[in-house]
Amino acid sequence: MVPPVSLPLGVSEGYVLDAPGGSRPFDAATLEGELRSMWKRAGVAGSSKAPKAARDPAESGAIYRAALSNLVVPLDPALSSKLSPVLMDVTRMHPSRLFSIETGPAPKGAGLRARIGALCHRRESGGGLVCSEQVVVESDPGSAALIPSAIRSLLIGELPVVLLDFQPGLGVPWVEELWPMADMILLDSCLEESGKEPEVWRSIHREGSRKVHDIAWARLNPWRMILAELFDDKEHLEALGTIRHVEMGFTGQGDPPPPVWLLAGWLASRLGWKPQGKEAEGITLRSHSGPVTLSLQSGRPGEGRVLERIRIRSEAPHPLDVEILHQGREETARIAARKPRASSMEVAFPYRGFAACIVGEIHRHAPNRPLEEAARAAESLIQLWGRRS
Amino acid sequence: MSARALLAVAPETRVNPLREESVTLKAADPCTFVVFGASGDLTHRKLIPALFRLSKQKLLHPQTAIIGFARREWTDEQFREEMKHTVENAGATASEWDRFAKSLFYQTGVFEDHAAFRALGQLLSKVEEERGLPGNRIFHFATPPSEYATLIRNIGSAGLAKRALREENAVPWARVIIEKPFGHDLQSARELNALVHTVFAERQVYRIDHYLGKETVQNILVFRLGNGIFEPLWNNRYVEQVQITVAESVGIEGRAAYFDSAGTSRDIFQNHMMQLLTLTAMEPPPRFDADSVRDEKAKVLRTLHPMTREEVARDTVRAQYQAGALGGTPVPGYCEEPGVKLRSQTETYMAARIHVDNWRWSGVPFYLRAGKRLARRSTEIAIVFRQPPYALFRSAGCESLEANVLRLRIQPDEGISLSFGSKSPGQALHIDPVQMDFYYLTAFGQDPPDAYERLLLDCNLGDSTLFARRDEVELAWEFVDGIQNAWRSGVPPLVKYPAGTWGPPEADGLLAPDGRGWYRL
Repeated sequence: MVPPVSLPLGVSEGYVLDAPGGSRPFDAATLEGELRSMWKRAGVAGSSKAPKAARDPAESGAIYRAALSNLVVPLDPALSSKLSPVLMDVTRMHPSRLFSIETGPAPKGAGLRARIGALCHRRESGGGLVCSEQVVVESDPGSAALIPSAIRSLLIGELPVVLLDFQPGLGVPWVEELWPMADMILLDSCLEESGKEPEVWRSIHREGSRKVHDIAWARLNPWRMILAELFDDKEHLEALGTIRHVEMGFTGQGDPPPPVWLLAGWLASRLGWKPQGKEAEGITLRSHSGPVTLSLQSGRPGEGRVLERIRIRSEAPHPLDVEILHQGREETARIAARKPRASSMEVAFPYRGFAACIVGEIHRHAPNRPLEEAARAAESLIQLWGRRS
Repeated sequence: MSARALLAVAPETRVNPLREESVTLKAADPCTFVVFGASGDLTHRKLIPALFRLSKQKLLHPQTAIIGFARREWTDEQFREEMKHTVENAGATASEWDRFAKSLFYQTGVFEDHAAFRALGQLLSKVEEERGLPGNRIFHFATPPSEYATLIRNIGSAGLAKRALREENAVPWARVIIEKPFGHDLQSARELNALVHTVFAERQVYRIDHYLGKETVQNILVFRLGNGIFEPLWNNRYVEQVQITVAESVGIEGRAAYFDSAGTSRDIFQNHMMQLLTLTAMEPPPRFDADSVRDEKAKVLRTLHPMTREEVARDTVRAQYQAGALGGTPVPGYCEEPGVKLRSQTETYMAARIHVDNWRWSGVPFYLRAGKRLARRSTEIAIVFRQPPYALFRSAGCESLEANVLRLRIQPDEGISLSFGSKSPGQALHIDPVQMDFYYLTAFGQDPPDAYERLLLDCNLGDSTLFARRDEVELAWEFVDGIQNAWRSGVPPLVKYPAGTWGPPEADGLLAPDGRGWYRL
């Protein structure tokens, strides 16, 4: 008998619980039966009556199956290796029945195949493993159209369906067919080709921001939080009305990444700035008190194109010149002020990894008006930027 | 800019437009935690592990410092060494410990020694300067309650909180966390409150009852008020009785000096149980903020029917455990515990029938029981619903059906269950009670975080929703004092129960006249 618990992954103390049998032609009833029997075997192996060799490395006994949602993830070969550790972490924070849909590995003519398993984590308080079921669906290109019906047959009915659609390029027919069955769809404009980001935001406008989320927005949370706190200060609050220059810097070369556009769009929408045109210095906007220049600067080499700096300048009667700088995955950002007086301080920057951003968005069940407004403004800004370049 | 333009801008900018609803998360302020009683059990078991986990989750500001203050003559290094084991038990890796250890400092001193407080002030200034901290301070009293007054006086006289303006949003700020029990009766609670207010404004005072930091306790309000189906049933029309149990299997765990003068009524009933009662019985607050929630809780305490001496005799039970066996192991009686007076009359168990005199709960008894050395550890609230108005299945032999019971399991096995009747499979009509169960672990895949993590972070963030306000504490004491006064005159008499049982038969007798019994745990 194959020990049900095996193969320590070394990723955030995760374990893969392999069901025996491996990949086989897709059959929903058989797979459901295998899932049930997998837990029976896990229960035996996890109990103190199990042979020592079959027990899990956490040495505790109990194996708990947990599920808060159906998590459906299309994975092309390029995305699969990148996302696997992320999905391990996502299921740790948000246990689910995970559907990993791999298109490509099955040889042509193999049809639709599937295998089951589980992603497990140690309980923080000790005492066993908590596991998310995983159904890996493999399809050759010719059978991709069958994927939605296969997934539909295995969804846990009373749990919400969350689709993580991170493959670049929207509009793949079988993936589009998954959209109506999803209660929530998570996209990531940062994974889209440059210039295609607005397609993600148009999906949000079309389907509603309660249903469609952009992970790029979640990455902005620390920036928005720091900016909001900065202007909670009564002295600085007045300066919001007289902002004249906003300068944003990002690592890498090329066009600004989506978080830059979204943050600029957020400022514009929250502060009532209307995009006007372009000048050598940047995009011009109009606030109710005067012109605002938005300057976007690439520069320092870095790990991709990542927002790392924003400088805001206001004019009299409420002069302010303040810059927020954050690099990489640091836990703090530095705020340096030149006006109204010179000062410098470190503030907490609650950086969150990809998995934490995903789970954060899964927990958001309300329409996201600030994102909708920011995305509309961002799209206008991109259009102006395009004219400039 | 024209004056007109200025006028047009000003009204809009009075509210921060960047503080929109999705940016509710606040970053922790940089601050120094000063833990009095740093060599004690609470610091080892709860405070340092909680601060470490908050730090590990990056929920504290990275410059945060922790200064321990206690009688032991330790250096910073010795204090760190003492805390190392406890942090490693909390899951710290070597590198995580190294980083956390750098935030730990220590000041030796006895609480009565003014010079030690002056030295603490110097250490605070030095640490704040070295770590670039703005002077925000949290003083945590992890000491016996008898030390609170001395600590307050010396913090005041040493000027450790003087920079903290008492106005709202003052910067830098100072806050004080005071563990329960806050006072030992109404008079002492009032005196302590008055003393605390000579140094701290009420908004700076965080009276901690760690039960309020438990996810399951916070979930009482979410469950009631965040779901459409339960709140309409949450009243005397549908609820027949409520049972609240705080059962401990442990004894007094070396705390004889404190417990023998407190008893279960002061140690558990006045705080934990009153909090569970108020959260169960309170009206929906108009907003989910600290004062709105605490206003409603205080209203419940005001509506508790004050007990006369006769009612105390009839509606309360006080008992003390004697030798018995727990989980197959013999355990001594309370009076045989080290440090307990031979003929101690301190109660280790109490039960009471309480009435909440308001429109919603009129006629619904709240049965409360708490005790030590009971059969097992379990805290839960059982909401027992009324029977259907007409017994439709009587003709089929199903005379009396089990009541629907909603159980909010606070600990262990955190979760919620609802029992209801279901037809047993087969040709005959048999109705059996079955359960719908929700477990935190199998739903969320993780155990709820420790209560102290939440509470220490909330204090840093200035959110006092989960802390007891002055009026709550005093109102709870006022109610408990009424019971204590009768008990002092020997009414009802202290009875005994064997350790390892569910309490004395008299506790069953409390419900028997109502035709009810305690629900099994």
